[in-house]
Amino acid sequence: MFGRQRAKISNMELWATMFIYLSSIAMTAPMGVAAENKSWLAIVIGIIFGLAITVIYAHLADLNPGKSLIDIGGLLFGKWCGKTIGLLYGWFSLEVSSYILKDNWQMTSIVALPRTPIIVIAAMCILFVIWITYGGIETIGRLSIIVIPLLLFYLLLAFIFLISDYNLNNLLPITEIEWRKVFYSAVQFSIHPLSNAVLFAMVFPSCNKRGQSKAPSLYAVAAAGLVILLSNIMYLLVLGPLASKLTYPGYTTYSYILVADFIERAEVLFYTVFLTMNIIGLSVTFYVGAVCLAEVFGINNYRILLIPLGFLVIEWSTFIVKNHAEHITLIMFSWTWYAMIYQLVIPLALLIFSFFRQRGYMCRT
Amino acid sequence: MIVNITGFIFFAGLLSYFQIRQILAKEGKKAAIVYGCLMGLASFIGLLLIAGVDIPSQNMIITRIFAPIGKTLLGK
Repeated sequence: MFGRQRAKISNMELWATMFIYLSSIAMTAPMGVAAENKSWLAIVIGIIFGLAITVIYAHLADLNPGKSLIDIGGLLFGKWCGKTIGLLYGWFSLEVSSYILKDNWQMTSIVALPRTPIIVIAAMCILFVIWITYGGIETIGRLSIIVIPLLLFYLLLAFIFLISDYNLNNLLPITEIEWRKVFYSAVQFSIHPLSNAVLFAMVFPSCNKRGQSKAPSLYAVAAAGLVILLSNIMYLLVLGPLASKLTYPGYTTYSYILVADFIERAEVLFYTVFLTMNIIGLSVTFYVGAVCLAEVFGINNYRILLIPLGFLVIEWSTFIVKNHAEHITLIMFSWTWYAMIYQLVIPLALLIFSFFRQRGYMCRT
Repeated sequence: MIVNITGFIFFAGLLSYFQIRQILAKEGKKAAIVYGCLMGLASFIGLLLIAGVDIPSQNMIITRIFAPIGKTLLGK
């Protein structure tokens, strides 16, 4: 048992953290791009796939209450296999952290601070993240609960104020569906962002109700999927075919808000929510990365790793993708299949072996 | 560039010195070694970046292995 296990979060905090984390990943990039104006359909199907994947790792955690993926791997295949799984998930969570940080400094640099060096923006962000992560998963959970009403309020505000800009023709034609593209986008959406929540398998041991992580996880994935779906429909109604081509469709959509010639520049609201949620999302992945490495190396306190990992994540975010075209190609064709190893293959293998192990144990007794 | 590199080494070295002393006293030798290794790696990569060395990203490998799957499934 390591330092992380001392922190305890309620199911509500777990739900809130997962919800904010998943929604934050989907805030910048357009979702279901390959399906174009059928992206809403791809998202609906993607939510179903995402829920099915969530059942796998949440059920795995419920079968082994109080144990992380590393503990489960160690229990099933031996100590070194558990440590290898820990290293893999440590790598993956820090890789995702670098992408999230890159999203943060890239958007800040484009929309708010174009003359500030990116290293300054990244360092300021990571300082916040280290501070939050130092507080532990309880701090991240409580912060998430505070942010949820803000997110929902801003979303509702945009829905109401943009009514005059909605063009229902942007959703047409509804009957001509290219199913290959829709299913491809659905699988993409179920993996990125929805199944990124697999990292929470390292957080489940910190829940105060052990063996009951399935319900909050499923509710969080469904709620995040619904919010992303509603946002996506709003972007499509306002921007039309442009929505799938823009880097920040959400930011552009909010810039359309104009009420009575005095409520304008509402994109600042979007940027504020983005920044807050991005930092919480980054705190989650950063926390999981630190906890994984602490557990692999047998360190009692993950906090001592935060500063060197902060340096590494800042550095990694500067060269993880060379340009935007490379990023788009990666997300479009490769990331889904790469991330599937961490999000589906490893948890599924662990679940199958865990199931047979428990069955064998029950037969013997 | 030399000033930047010297400044970075000084900063990382000073930070590591005080942190390792504290970690040795509180968490033990193993934790201090892990911290030192990670800080060493971070400093090395930082120096390469300051020196303007083009560090290859792991995405090259990911794209090479997985992009054909995505392109085939999408029919491109």
